Amino acid sequence: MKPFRPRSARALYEAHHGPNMTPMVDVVMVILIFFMASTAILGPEWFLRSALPVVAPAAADLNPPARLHIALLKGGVARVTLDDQQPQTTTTFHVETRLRDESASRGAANLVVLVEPAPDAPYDDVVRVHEWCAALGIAKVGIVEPPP
Amino acid sequence: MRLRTAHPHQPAAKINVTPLIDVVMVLIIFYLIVGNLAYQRLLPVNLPEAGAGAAEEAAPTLVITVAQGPSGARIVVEDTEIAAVDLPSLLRARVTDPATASVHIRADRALSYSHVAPVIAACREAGLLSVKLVAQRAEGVP
Repeated sequence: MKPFRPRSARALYEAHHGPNMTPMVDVVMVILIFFMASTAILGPEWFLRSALPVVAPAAADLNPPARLHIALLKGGVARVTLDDQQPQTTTTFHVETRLRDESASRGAANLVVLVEPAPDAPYDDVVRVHEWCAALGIAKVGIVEPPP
Repeated sequence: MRLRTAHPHQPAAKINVTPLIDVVMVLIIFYLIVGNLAYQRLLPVNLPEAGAGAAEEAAPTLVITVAQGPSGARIVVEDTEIAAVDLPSLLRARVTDPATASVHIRADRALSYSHVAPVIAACREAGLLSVKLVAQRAEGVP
């Protein structure tokens, strides 16, 4: 009778059949991490930057940007004032048209939008104005407090 | 003359890095999931929808949530509810560099601005130059 002879490690290695799963697992994990990371970075939310302007002494600017002051009132009413012109009362949804017109005529970079929400104005309207500005490329947007 | 090579059937010794890669990737996935869960731990609010805006690239310095409560609005900083009067002092303590700080304001869309105004005023008082209003991406917007 042939004596029992244990298999060597090499023999065991060669006896292992079937596909090698390791590269597939690695690739799948890399894909998984990519999608998780992209989801975490993009997220389901937008961030609308709003400046908090403070009263400062007027600087000598020969070509100051146009200043569009938007007072948001209750019930979807807005009062829009361009520089020192007379204020115009309109609806919140017409503010978008006004922003688009001013942005087209002056350029988004030459326009400063100051949002002054009344205490009883819907917060949703405040975000809406910021959204329109973001869509039009107007970067200089800020929230100002109503005068005491 | 026949030359004998040393250990002709044995492959060269090397470190198998595959288990290491697998373990590292599992750890990365774990921390990504934990990070997402920590963000979702914030008080859920019905955010306003927006079709445009910027995607945030860096972690915020502070997240302030203004939610509807049974008796008016609730102001929650990270996961701690706070009174509006205490907000300026907390902001001064937490925001070390107001010029570069990134404060996110997550307010409920159904609120009136009077509930958010104290938060804006506190940020202004703390010397912040800007805040970021958080909005839900409108459906269909990539």
